Amino acid sequence: MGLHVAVLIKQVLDPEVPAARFQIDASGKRPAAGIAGEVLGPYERNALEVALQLKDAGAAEKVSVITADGQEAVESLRKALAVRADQAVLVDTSGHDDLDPAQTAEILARAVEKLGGVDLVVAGRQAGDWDHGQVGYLVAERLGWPCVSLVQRAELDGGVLRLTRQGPDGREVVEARPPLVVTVTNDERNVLRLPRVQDLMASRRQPITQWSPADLGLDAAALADLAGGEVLRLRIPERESQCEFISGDDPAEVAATLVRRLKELKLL
Amino acid sequence: MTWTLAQAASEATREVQWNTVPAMIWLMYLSAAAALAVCCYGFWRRLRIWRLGKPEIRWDQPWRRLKLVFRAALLQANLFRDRIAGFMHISMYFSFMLLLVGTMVVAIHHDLGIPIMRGYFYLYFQSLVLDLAGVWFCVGLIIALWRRYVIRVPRLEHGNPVDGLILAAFFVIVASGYPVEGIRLVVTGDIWALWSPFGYLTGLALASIWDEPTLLVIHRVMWVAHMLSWHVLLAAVPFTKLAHLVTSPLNIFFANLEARSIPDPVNFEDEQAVAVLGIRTPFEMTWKQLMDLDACTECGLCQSQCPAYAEGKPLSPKRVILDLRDHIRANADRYLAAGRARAAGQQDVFEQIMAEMPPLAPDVIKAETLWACTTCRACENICPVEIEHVPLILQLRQNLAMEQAQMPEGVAEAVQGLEVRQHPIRGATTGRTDWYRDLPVRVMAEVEDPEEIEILYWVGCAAAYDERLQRIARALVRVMNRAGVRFAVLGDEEQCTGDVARRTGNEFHYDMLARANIETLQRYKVKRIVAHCPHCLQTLGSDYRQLGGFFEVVHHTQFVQELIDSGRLQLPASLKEKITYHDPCYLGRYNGVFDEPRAVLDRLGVERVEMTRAGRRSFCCGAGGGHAFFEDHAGGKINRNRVEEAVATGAGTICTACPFCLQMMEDGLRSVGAAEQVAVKDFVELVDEALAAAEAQQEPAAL
Ligand code: SF4
Ligand code: SF4
Repeated sequence: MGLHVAVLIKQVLDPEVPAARFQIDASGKRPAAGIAGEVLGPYERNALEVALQLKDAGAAEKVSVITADGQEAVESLRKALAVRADQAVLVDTSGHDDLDPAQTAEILARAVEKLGGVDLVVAGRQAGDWDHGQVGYLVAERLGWPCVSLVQRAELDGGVLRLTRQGPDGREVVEARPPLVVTVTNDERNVLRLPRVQDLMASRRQPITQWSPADLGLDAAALADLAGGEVLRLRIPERESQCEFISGDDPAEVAATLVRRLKELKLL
Repeated sequence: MTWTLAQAASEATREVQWNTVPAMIWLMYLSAAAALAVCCYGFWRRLRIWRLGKPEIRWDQPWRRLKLVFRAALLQANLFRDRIAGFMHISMYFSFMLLLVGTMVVAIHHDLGIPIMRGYFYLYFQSLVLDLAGVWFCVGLIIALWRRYVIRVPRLEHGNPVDGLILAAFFVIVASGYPVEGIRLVVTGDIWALWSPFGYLTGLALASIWDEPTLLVIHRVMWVAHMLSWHVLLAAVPFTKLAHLVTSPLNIFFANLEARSIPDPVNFEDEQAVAVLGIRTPFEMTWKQLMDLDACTECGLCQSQCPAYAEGKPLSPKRVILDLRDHIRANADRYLAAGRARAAGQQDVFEQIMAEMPPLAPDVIKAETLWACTTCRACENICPVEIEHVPLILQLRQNLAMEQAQMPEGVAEAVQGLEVRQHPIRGATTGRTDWYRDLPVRVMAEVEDPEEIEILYWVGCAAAYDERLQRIARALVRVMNRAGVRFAVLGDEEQCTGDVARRTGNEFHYDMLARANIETLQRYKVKRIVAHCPHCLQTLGSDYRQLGGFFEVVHHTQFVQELIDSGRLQLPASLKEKITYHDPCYLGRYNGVFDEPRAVLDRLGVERVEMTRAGRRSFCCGAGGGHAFFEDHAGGKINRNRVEEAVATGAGTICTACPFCLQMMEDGLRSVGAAEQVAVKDFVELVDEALAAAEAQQEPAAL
């Protein structure tokens, strides 16, 4: 019996939005709508690839992808189906804007439970928009499962998962038994594969499982209670740059002046 | 006496089958019949393979097609593409044809009993002309042997050993023909011997060595050798490169008269059409694509022009054709069996057979080979028999990219960019419309009366997102404003034309973008478009027609020329620079624009110098076919090769008319360390500079 792997994904604002185009909306709390397209988050792509590789190797039997978002996230779920994830679940949280990591983790953990039979939860190390980097751990906490962070590759060997992770001094190999949560970081070997066009076309017709927070036993009040923090204001940092030319008669003099200036500016 | 001679001449003829015994004649008819049968069988096998292909209509405009065949086959017009080889081929071809006619004359005269081989016709044609034709054939033969075995012309390498045998057989035919003729002339004391000078000389020479009985034996041996080698050759035609005697004229007749070098569109709505994407097996090729493979004469001209081959990359267009041909020939029985099963409606048998056959890409044609192609069209441009390499390569790429999801990393990123951002440029720091913020540019969506717009300026992604290339767009805007052109851009509604997707085999993404753009252009009822990018020009103007988007698209070089001709733009002849113009593949070979940019440059007063490879024979910059978006590491750099040629002209400026060429040239100049000495500018940047300089001069005077 292979594993049932659940991949937690998030659709984010295209991280390549040109700086010149980045704007904040009127609330001052989030990026303006429509400044760029949305994409499947970068680390979620790696997470999905790790899960698909387990499936290729015969270790996983089923890969489910879950996201908590508005209807627009169906796009990313379809992307996952196009690379042959088996099931896609959208917990439609429209109407609950600006969920924080604690709320998101609660929703996703409940979705994993409702899905049933999940042995391994794979999440990106952090989402490409807010970079909180908390959801994976909070889900593990909430499910009461161990968590291995910054994983690059996973292999199943006789019921034990061998996880290669990015440690402080290089690669570490950790062995763990499911059930388990892992957060994934990028590596040259977990770049998300490209979809075959036939699969891409088929993914448009595949069903998406749709749940609401209420289906997971969470009403608006319960959700609000879970909030751990609030964004007060989002701001585009202003960067000023000045350029000063150091002149001098010969390189030695220029160097001496440069050192003096750097000392004055307390940079040396 | 004169009278008698004339009278005799009008009766002149010769005895056919002199000095033969019935057994020899029987042998001749039998072997001729056998040879003809083998020859027909060989072509029938070919025909059956071609019939496996998908349908395609290639017989419209028959007169135009016949004219092409006439030009190519009878006038050998395509062969002047290489002078020495052309002369060689013409020599062997014409003399061979003459000798063939001579043989038929004998057959008509002798076997049909219609006495045409007589009189002056016999003397002039059947004796003198054919005698000389044999010599002419020898001249061609010697050049051929010389090129293949002595100087070893590189484009003929990897030739088949059989090719040498063909030449040997030809040699036997000629070397036995003269003794046969000569001995008859000498022994029978033929009074018309002088009409066959070389044959007569051969006869005299032999007669000076041997006596008559020996000569008669030699004659019989040579007669049999002549006849048999001829028949062997005839039987070998369909199995060797000689097949091109038949397949080349056929292939030229069925040439593509319209959408050259672009693949057929894919109907993604049709489930059957997308069951296999691109070419995976011969069954996805059209009958004409299969015929192409058999039409190749192995001349190697395509390879000699291929920029990828020149730089040692793992691609030779000739090899692509021949490797596919050899694979299909080697597996012909299985493919034919699969074809029979399919025709009989036994889909399962068909699939069972095909399951064992490898996908043509990457098993028969390697992925590196396919990705090395810049789609420059140099191969198709030179191929004397109108073989179409580019659509074939692109459709093999389609199978790799779409069905097997295999493509170079840069291509994958570009395509993902298209999906998310509708442009392929990585790391763009600005939006699509930022480049014209400070310029008077109107956006179609804000134009009240679209009818009033005379031309839509299609900016393209390269110039919208790349800082250096934005200068091209800004220059064109200034030039058009000076001429008072009422133009507008699509702004954020413009999406990538899909060129990079299409040329990298990502037809699905191309299709999406193309349909979106066609919809936008039709919504604004756009009739006329100007583009400074030849890739946009080609895609909007030609590729979109396949999807029902008919727009008149002109390149900015053409448009500026038009503005000058209509008097809306006055160019000062003030640019005293030495400039060489680089023909972009998609402008020149694809769209036939060679003269306009040169004419405008000349008006600017520049000293224009040409590179050796210019015009139709221009050498690619290396960016086409998606290569602007990925690095292919095998072999050398195509842009370096081109830049070295440009620098050698001594020009101070390389003028291009394509943003991708411009990037490639600048990059190439840096790699050869000439970026300081030689500048690269787009055509319209030069026009703009000259106009700006003229205005600056006028202003103080006006004060
Ligand atoms: S299109 Fe150009 S690069 Fe491609 S095979 Fe032909 S000559 Fe070579
Ligand atoms: S494809 Fe054309 S140019 Fe190339 S070797 Fe064959 S006949 Fe010659």
